[in-house]
Amino acid sequence: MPNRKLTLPLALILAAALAVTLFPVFWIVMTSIKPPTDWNAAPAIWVPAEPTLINFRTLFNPDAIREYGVGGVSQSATAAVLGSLLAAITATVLSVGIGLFAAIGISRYGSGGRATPLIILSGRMFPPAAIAVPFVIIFSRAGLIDTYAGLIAIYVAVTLPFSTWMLNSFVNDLPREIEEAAMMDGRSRLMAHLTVTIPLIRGGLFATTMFVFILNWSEFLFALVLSYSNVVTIPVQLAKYVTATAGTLYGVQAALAVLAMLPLVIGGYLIQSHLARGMTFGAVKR
Amino acid sequence: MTAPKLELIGLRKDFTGGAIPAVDGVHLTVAAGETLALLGPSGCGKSTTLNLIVGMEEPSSGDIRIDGRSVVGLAPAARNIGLVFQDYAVFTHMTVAQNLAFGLSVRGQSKAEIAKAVGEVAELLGMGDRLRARARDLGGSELQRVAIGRTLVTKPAILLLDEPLSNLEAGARLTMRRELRRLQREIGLTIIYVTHDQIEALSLADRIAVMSAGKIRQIDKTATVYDTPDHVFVASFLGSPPMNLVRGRIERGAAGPVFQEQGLVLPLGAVAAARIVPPGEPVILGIRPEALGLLPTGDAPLQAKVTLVEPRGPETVVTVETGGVALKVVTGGAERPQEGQAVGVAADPASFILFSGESNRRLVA
Amino acid sequence: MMLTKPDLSEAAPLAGGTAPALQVDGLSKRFRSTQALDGVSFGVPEASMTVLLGPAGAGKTTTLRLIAGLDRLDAGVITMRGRDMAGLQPKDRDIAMIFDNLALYPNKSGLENIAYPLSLRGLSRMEAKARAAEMAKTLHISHVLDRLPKTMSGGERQRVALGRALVRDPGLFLLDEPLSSLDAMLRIELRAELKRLQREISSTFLLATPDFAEAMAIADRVIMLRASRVVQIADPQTLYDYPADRETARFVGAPEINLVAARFEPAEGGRIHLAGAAMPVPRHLAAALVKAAPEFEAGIRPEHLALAEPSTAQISAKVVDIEPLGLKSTLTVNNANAELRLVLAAAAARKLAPGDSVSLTLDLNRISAFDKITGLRIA
Repeated sequence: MPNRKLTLPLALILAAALAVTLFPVFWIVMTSIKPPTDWNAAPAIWVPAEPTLINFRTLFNPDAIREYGVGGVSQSATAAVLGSLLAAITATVLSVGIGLFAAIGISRYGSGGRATPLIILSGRMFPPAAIAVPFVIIFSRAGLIDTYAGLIAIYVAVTLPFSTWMLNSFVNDLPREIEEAAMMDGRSRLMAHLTVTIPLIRGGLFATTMFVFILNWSEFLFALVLSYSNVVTIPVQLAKYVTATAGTLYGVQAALAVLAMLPLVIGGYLIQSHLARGMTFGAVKR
Repeated sequence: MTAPKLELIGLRKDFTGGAIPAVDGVHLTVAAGETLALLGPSGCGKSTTLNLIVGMEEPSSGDIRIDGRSVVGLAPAARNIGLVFQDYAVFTHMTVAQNLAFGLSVRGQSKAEIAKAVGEVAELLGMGDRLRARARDLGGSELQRVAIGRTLVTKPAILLLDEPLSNLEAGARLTMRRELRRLQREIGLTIIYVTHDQIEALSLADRIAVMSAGKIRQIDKTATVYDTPDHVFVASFLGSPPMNLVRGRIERGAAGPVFQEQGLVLPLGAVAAARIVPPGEPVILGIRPEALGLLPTGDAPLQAKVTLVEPRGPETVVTVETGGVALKVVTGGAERPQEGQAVGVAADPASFILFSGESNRRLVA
Repeated sequence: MMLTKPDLSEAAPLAGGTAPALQVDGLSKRFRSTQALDGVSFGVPEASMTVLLGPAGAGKTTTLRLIAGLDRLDAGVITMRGRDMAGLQPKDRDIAMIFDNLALYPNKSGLENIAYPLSLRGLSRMEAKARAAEMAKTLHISHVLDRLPKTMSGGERQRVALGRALVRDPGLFLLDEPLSSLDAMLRIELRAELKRLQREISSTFLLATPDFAEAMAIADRVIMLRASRVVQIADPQTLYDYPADRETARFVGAPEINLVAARFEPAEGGRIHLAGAAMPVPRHLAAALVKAAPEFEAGIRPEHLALAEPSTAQISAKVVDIEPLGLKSTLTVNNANAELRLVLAAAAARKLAPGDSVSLTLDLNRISAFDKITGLRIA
């Protein structure tokens, strides 16, 4: 409905929905700046009276937290942050890059017949837990266990169906005549796709990249079972903040979670203007 | 005297960001049982007017009255208007009978009442034997009938049809127009057609309101709008091909006023409106292509050259150039000149219409 | 079934008589389970406006796409001025195409859209833009050169697409329903302009449309396509006056041609019975009817029927429906044997009402005869 006014009931519903969605984020951000005494105080402390950056310092200097009488953190999170960046970025670039050309092939040239998109997606029909163990066996035989190459390979394998499927729908939405017009105007097939098709699905490309990056960035199961010591990612590191003396270090966990959120928030902000559909409006008659 | 079925009073709609109002002070009265066509090109404001009547949009100012009662602010469902969409909006997973019954069952009527009403409407539409057919198996004109029937079943005060025939093939359009005329006669409902197709308007409506730029340019009986357009826009929009419109000025000739534009000089002695125009005044001369005829060059009042020949089957549209002015002439199918050929043109001044060059309105003596 | 009359196709070139600019032979194309084209052959004369006319699904778009090289053909040969097109990429065929959905580059301005083919062909940026601007001026769209397609009106987009094709001066233009989805008035205006442009640059155009009126108005030659085959190739007036079969007769002309069951009786010099009346056999039908089955279908154009005094009339009937169409009206009448449509002046039609009795005369010399079973033209 065009020009629909924001009425009071509508505003209330929206506010409630926002509160439910944003509450966990609020809680994590607050916890990340709480001193250890406030972490699991009862009754709960919503906003700390004395906010501190100790949790963030502890991430990269495990001994920092000792000034509060809490000890037992052994490992800096630096390796995990770098490991996550390496695995997630590389896997996302590969997955989206391969998926993009697969999507164009399927959409424009019917590559592999009509069932191809479904067959590709079928790889995702197993629960990851069910295939994790076979992968451990295969990877250990192949010497890929506890290597970034192995982790990236499995990330690409897992997310490629999503990127192909998503990009395929964006390419399908783009009228093929636009790139064919470029072929008539003097482009070869390949150049028509590179200079016309891909720029015009830019929005979809960003959205897919973001989505695949989130999947890779937050993946826990494979990172856990396919690594011992060389390879470590943020989700795995998060699980390590449990000590015998002080129990779970909620504040430090929250601090790492806040750090992990940052690239997603920044990325989301940067691409949001590209996410709008309707890029091709006006190009064709409807 | 009873109130008219529908009244639009000073209706106006501004859209944020729009340079001009989409609907700009529209006054319109539709009598009960009348069929009116709202005719205009895309972007003229007719669809917005329709949305305002139905209640999908609220007017910026002005009033909409049905049976004398203002409906502004009422929800679409409370206005008792039946709207038939351009793309039918028939539920294809249901049968014809289920589609027809839909409006009544959501209103919670009893099964017996619904069955009776559905039967009546199906009979009226000549679809009595198609009630069990699945809507997805229907052809275009049958779908259109179901769409209309689904609306009729709820007994609306006014039936609004939005480009009802534009999705049909040419042949089905012809049949459907005939069907619609029969329906009009039989049910006597108040009907408004919103269309950009002059054929639909001419063949279905008692009266036509021609719109452009958010304004109604003329509203009158169908034949009157066609024969004596009040506004240059109306003249340019009706007829196929539309009226020749030539910008020029009135001069005093030896035998009364003449129209002059470049090398074209036409005596206007027979045109009463020409006498009230002061010499030198800019005017627009309107001549229906059917009022012009081609002659051998010798005995014709105007000498011309053929620039374009468009055959149409029973007749031919010939574009000629005379005195630097292009004119379209409709001739019989048999007499077809060659492009580039010299011909004579005869004009019947009795059919000429003069418009003011400034206001674009028709000049009346 | 053999629908093509050989004497109407390539054996008798209509315009010029020189070798055609484009020659298509035995074009076939199958998409999964549907045969989109089945042995389509035709020629497009040099510098002509040739129109592919046919209902939706006849194979018009497929034909154009095969000629453009956008789809692969299953069988057939396409030659342009003697050069075989097989294996050539679209860009190497010297063909410009206007798609039915226009397919403008949504991220490029009007000027860039028009200049694009030129810059791809190695013209400098400056020169490409200058020529594009020049082209825009001819098409009266100079005011949209800085704007993106989404801010243009339907007619402006249409002209930009036209400009993008015309700016290149290719050997052949393919236009796929270029005027569909425009308002009726704009369509009529633009089609006259299209024809004018084609004449001015004397290029070869092949235009596909389902609108017979458009075909009639602009074509030098019409290729009537139906159900994946060529049905008839003729100039527009011939197509209208001598349609090759019943379906073509119905497709071309509005209001639709009357198709009436008729019977030929050779006795007493021959008579035909139709619409409840008996009449002498017109000369153009006589020879053919003697050879054909006695039962046939008569095709009568609505303008060849007229109201008449009862004393001179051949057919009597009752008015069923009156359709006013401005200066003229379409009258539908029927009797026990037939329903007929005729065209008459609006003023005359206003005197009539449904249910009135009327008497009609028929211009016998203009009727067509079709075989009752095959639908093919007998005479």
